[in-house]
Amino acid sequence: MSEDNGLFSINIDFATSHLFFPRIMIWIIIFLAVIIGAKELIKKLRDGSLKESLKGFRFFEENYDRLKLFGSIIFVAVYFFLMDFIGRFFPNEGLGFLIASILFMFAMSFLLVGKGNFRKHRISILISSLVTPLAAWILFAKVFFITLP
Amino acid sequence: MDFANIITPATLMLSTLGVIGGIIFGAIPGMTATMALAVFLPLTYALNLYQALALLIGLYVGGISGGLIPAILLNIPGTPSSITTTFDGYPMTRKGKGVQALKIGIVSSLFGGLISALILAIFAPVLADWAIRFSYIEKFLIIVFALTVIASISQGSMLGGLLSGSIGILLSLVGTYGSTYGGNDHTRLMPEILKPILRNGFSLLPVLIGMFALTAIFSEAEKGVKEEPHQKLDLAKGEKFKMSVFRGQIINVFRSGLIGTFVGLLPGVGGSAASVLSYTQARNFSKHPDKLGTGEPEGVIASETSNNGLTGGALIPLVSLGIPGDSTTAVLIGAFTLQGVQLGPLFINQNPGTWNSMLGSLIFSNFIMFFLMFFAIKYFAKVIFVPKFILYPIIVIMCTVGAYAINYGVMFDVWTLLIFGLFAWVGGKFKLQIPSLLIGFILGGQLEIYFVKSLESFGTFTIFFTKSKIAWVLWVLIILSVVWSIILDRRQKSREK
Repeated sequence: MSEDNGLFSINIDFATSHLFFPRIMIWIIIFLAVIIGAKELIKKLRDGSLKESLKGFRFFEENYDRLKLFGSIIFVAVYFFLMDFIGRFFPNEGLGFLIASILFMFAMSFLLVGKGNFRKHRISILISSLVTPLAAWILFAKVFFITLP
Repeated sequence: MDFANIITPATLMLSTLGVIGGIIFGAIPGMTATMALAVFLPLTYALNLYQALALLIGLYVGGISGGLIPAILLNIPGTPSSITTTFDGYPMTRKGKGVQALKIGIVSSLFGGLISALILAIFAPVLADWAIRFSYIEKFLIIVFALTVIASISQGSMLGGLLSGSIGILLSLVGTYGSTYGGNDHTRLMPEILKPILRNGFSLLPVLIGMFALTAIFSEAEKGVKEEPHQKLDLAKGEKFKMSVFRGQIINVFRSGLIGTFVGLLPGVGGSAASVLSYTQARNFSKHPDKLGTGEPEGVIASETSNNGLTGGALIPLVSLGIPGDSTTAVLIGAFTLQGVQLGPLFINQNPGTWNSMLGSLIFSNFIMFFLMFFAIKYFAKVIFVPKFILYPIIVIMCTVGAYAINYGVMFDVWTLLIFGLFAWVGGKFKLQIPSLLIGFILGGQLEIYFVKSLESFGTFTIFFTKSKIAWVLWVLIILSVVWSIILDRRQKSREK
């Protein structure tokens, strides 16, 4: 194919070619973000609501449930960590998964149900925390031979 | 064509199991068809491709259909595609016509599914034949088109959609620029310390599951996980279902089915868009538009026919172009990758057995869905009462299995769940559009390859405009979709005023 050596011709240097497209994308993202930001800014300036918006920006929902939210995030992180950690003692048997899942499910159900309701549901939580991970472990690790930590 | 391989007791049974599982997942609010496929995907290792597809397609059909159960009975959509079903389905329940509404929804789902299967069977090979002629440039432009479409139909501004899509693309580029695609095997977009972990980038499935499942759970946790009040469901009473409801609705059925199929055809656009579009059209063409929303079967028919119409439609671009029609079909790509089959214009020609198997599974699943739901609706309806505090931990566990197993046991994939779950949750606060981001993520790698290869082959940017007539057509389509979205945007803004 004949090469246009005009204004739009381009030669991609092989050694740095891995950065070629990412750089383009980064520029596109910056470009779009600036335009969106500018549009919003202009709109707010026209409406006169700029100060309002800045003050009123709420990251979290109103009355967000701190315990449940951060608890969930932390529990999930701990669950993943435990699964891997316990699993190292019994490689590839899936026991790390099983044990961590039982603990996680119990803790998470407890967290989500709310302190007041726990008594009412404690039996169902206990049962499901034991049965579901066990059933999952049997099904995935034993029947389908999927490696679990 | 080896029918003996396709129609085996195993595939039929897996189809049925898939539909049952799908209906259950779809019926539980908060769990979607996409999640169902994502969770069951690792199980398909042990199966051959026909069986894997039977299971997954069954899950897909069941999942989309199952959403109507809580939508009608509890006013809560089981899946995003059932949002508009609540508009008329729930009022019908309040009037004591709950069972009737359910059955109308089920029959509509069957019609929608069959219409889209027919269009799939006819249209996909045609599209594939045509797409074979695409060179890198056209392939690049088609993906750009797909991204603009998603950005325009997504909620919120088109610019926001494009930004989200671009972020998705950038995220997909993290990793190594592989030499199998002509790259130089260097890593990029990562700090030195993280190189060993991020060398292979982020895997699609954990990203997908994390952004849908974990994000939803974190949002719910933030809001305090309020349980829906249980209502006494008396399914024995209520008016009997009569097929005569459909008399006079034939046009509605076909129109909705076609809308669903067409929306499914558009890459990346999925469930809720189809049903919303169909419902609005039903209202525009209705003889008594003000009754819609008060419990008219017409509304349920429009909504449910279109969301099942989506299933066949979304498979069309998947199979003929290798571009997923919606996020659920995006998971299907994983199944093909697992089995080493490449989707794209050559797929149908080179894999007639698999193609026929897919069609067969789709049709079969629709019928199974119909029989199961129609006659066993009472049992499925009970599923909606599983409490969230038990359900959410189960979802996390299932997602973990899926994420871990996808690459035969990489713990980082599990952490990816959390990373992207948090990322999407935070992003949502800033109006990041997850569906656009996801499609950008899925298509980003291909986008790069086609772009770079086009430039390497032809040496100039102008080739994107001068290569062929097909390229021009694609440019026109891209411009049209951008203009269309600007129009939609303006309309929406004037409505808001």
